[in-house]
Amino acid sequence: MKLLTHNMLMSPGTKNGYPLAIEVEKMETVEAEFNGEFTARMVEKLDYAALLSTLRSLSVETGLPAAVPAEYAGDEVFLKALHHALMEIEILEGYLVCPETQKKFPIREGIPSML
Amino acid sequence: MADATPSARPSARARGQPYICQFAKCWYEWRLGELRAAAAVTDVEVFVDADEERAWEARRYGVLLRAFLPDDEAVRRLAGRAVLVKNITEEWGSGRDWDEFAAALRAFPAERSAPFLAAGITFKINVTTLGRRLLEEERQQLIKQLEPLLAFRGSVRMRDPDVTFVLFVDTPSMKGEEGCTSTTARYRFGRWIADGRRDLVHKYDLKTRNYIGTTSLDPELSLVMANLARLRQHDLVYDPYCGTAGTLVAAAAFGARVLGCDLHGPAIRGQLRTRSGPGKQSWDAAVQGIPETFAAYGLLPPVALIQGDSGAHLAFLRAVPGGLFDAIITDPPYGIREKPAEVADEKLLSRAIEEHHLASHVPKTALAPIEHILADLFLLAEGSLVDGGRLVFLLPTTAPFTEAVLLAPPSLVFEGAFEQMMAARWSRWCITMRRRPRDVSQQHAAAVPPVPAAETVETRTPSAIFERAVLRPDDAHLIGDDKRAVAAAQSLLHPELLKKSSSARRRLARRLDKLTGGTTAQAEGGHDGHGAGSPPVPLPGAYGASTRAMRRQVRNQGRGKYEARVRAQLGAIVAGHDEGVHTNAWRLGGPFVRRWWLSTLAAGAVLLTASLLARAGARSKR
Repeated sequence: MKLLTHNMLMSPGTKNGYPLAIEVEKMETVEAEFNGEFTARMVEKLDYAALLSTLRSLSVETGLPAAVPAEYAGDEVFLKALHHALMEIEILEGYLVCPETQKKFPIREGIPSML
Repeated sequence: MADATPSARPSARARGQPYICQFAKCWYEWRLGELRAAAAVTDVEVFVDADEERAWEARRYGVLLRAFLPDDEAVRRLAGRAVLVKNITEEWGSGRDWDEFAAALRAFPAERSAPFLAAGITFKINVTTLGRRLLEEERQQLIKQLEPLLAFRGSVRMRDPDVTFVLFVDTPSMKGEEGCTSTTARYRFGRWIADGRRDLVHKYDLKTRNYIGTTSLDPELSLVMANLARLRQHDLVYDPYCGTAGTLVAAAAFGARVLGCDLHGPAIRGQLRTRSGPGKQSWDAAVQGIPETFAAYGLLPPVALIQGDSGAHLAFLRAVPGGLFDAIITDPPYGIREKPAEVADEKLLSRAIEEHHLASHVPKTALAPIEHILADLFLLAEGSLVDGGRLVFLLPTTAPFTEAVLLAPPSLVFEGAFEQMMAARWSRWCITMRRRPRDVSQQHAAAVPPVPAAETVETRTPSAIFERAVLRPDDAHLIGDDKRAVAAAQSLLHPELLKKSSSARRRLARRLDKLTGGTTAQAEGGHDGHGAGSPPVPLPGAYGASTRAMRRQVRNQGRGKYEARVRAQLGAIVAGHDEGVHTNAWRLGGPFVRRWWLSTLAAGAVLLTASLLARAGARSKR
């Protein structure tokens, strides 16, 4: 599961079940093809604060600024760092934990089960 | 009809130059819609003359369409996207006969043709025939006839020429049937510009795919759906019922990034046993799966695969204010081949099972009614599509489809539906809906009162138009009664089948004339109804006698009597009964089938009685 996916997922049937905490058992960095246009298009769909807090909880250093820069579309350094955070960090095994109900959603072989 | 030649017909709104689009001979009603969608994606303006469009719709099986397109560059862009287009040719002249054609070709402006006819340019001329094949000599003859019409100065080169010319010869077939041919132009000549994307259909063939399931989507249909969704590069596409990701492969083929969700874990984990790809010989989840399929095609891997229930009550996607996905393309399970399931697992949902069992737990599911599936899909689309994003999905129906049946929220605008006939009783529709811009939808919802529920909900709910395509209990008795069977079949059968069966009846009439020397065919040719016009002839013997019985008769009674029998049967069919209806009624459960069932039942009853008697006997002995 990439962090882009994690940024979209919430605990079903809850009001405040976002963002889900991650209990990591196995995490990998997998190289993915960078595309500036795609990454820029993802920015407006992101919850940037949730992404930063997740990165902190995983203790992954990506060099992302505290807020999205105003001119992010042309900012290659920012987009590359964002791409690394969103697309290259893979959670292969572990759990997603609902902050509201403490329900656990297993991640196996990189596929989260949201049931 | 128009008195001017097709090429000279003035067209006030027409912009650009006339081009000839040659379409594939399949997905007949879809092709123009797909072309228009592909044109919208590639920013090409397509204009089709109103007359031409009417003729195109009327002949249905046609393959050539004259469309006005801006320029060659735009045509190449369009052809690079359209899946149902074989090729596009710049039209230089066309006519209903050779003289008209020759005049049109001579009138083609020299300044436009000169660069391609000049000395030093290599060219070849292809002759494409429709309706009937031509002998090589006939082709050569046509090319010779063409020579004086244009000032060819270049040299011929069959391999890699600079310019390829195409002469379309549109001939009615030997049988005199209209079929793929058109009456608007028998001859067309032009310069080939580009081929369409038929190659994608072969590239994504399921037979060579790494990982498929039992209900993986037809790649051609999935590619067309991707075009109808008007996907652009870097769009984010979601399939809530992805299965083995057939829809997503096609979306990724057009440059989209994809996410898939399915309730069935093994399907998305690559654990289905497959009959193609590397898993075929020794079923091995390590070498097959959805990411492996994408890699084998050289596509960017899916962004995410998620196991989850797409029901609205279990929605696991965060609400993004401006929408998340650019398109949702899906083939939901409706219970025809794939069980429509939703999670009904109290234990799992309430986390009453132990944590270490969570990952391996297989959720208990229940059948999801079609209304649930559609309502969930609409809610998902409403919440997660970006403004102007499209929802493209498949819906099987057993009755004529109307938009009202969808009961979609006002935020989704119905864009169109294309029908794929699956069997006599049911069709599959591909439905496209567009997400209304959010602020406008709120105004709209406030301004327009909701559709009166009584009209749509009670009379035409989705399950009312979708019944399993099985024999109804009351159909069987209809089949025995000829007139009622015909009437019943007419109300049940697909109109296309009825059309086919009336042509079959005409064919039979011709055969009958050969046998009897009569004039049934001429009489029959006049009316186009379904056998209601002519009075029924008294019918000797059983109407529904099977071909097997006829064969038996040939063996037993010799040819003369057989011919008499055939004559009687054909007479009956031609006179008032529809051959197509007859055969289909037979398939649904004619007298032969009924007899078979009765004999099976009788045999079963005899066996049961015998075994009961034997057991009773054994008991009394003891």
